[in-house]
Amino acid sequence: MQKATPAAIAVLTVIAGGTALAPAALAADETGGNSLHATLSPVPTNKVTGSGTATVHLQGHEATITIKTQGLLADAPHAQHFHIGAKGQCPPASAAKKHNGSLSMNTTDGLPFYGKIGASLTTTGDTSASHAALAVDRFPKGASYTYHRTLTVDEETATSLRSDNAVVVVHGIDYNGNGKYDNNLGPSDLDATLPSEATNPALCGPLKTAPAGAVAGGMGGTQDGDTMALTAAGGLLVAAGGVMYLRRRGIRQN
Amino acid sequence: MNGFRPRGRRSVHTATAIAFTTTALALLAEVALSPSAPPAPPESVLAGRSDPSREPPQGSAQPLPASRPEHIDIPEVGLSAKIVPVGTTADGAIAMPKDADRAGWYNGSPTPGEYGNTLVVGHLDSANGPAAFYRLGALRKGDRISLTRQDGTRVGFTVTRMAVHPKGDFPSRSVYAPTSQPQLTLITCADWDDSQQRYRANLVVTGHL
Ligand SMILES: [Cu+2]
Repeated sequence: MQKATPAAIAVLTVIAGGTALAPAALAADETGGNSLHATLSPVPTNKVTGSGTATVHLQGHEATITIKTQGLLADAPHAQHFHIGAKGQCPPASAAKKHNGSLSMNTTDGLPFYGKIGASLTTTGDTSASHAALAVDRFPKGASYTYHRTLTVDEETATSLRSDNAVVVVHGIDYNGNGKYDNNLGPSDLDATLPSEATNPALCGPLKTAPAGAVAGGMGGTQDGDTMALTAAGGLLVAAGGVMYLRRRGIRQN
Repeated sequence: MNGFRPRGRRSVHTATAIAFTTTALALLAEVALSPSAPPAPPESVLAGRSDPSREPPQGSAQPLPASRPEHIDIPEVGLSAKIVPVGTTADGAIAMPKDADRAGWYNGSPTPGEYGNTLVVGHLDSANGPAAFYRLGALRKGDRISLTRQDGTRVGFTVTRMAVHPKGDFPSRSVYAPTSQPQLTLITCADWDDSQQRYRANLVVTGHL
């Protein structure tokens, strides 16, 4: 069997010169914790055009969280939580209902998919599900923000995170596009003293285990024979004084 | 397999120095031109360097609903493969499809057309010959990649970056980082180490809508 890979020669030749250039990477589980990623997408029917990302590193019950958002309602607080204990999914458009005559998704509509609140991702103070869930003065404000905090989660939330079942939900929409939270969708299903716009889900992303390290993407079945052939050819060319030809030919090959 | 059947080895005759050289060149030509040679990524991306690329535009179209990818097609390099869902291995790496002729979509990543970083892996070769991502190294920036989803929609990506990273120093955080816009990341092996009989690196191809 003879299979050729001047490509392999090219790679070897070029890589040999500078292997130390790639940035150092910490393996996700180097510290024994869990690394999780989420992409935050607009909740369907809520007229949101924003997006974002979330990363969580969980060590025991300590969760180090980074959330980046863009395109949310400006100058407004955005409640944000880990939701847990349901399907670990974001609600599809079919979960929306008519609220005050307008098809939209309130927080309750999405519960069968993302579940109840597991932790409140406040900027300071309490992070519990029960007491801090709508502490609007302690949530990030603005269209685009970066949130970073390490907080302690309870056992149920930690377990949900580890089993790829937790979901990041960022709340606060501007359904009628008037630049503020108002009552066009009626009062909030969570707190009747707040407008529904202030608590409806805006962005949602399931947290999933981040892969770690390179992949094992080959077994060499196109390499073994080659090397013999190339070695044979190379050896003959060395004898003939033509090794540079081999190298140039190998590099040019694609 | 896949029509990449190598031709039989040519016997080497030794008579005069001229015959010697001629044979060497003939053998080399055969080696260099054999259709079974895996295509090399561009030289500029080897040794861990990556091509500089513009960032994708922010705030583009609304994302598609989730629907898992079932097929990948890259006509420019003759790559066409079924896609199956894959998870992770015990050490946390993305698992490879059992059938080396299929590509694997990491089931913890978004589906193509959703916002986020869709991760698709594939073998460069099996123990016997070329595999699903054998032709990946022939890609160049600007080439088009088409993914067909279970719901029948096709999502096209344009190659914006290619990089080769050593396995022992793999930048997981940047390669696997979540993105707020749709991104496609294809990964296969690169850099065969003949003495160890293993690949030393991964080729990472990045695409945007
Ligand atoms: Cu919430």
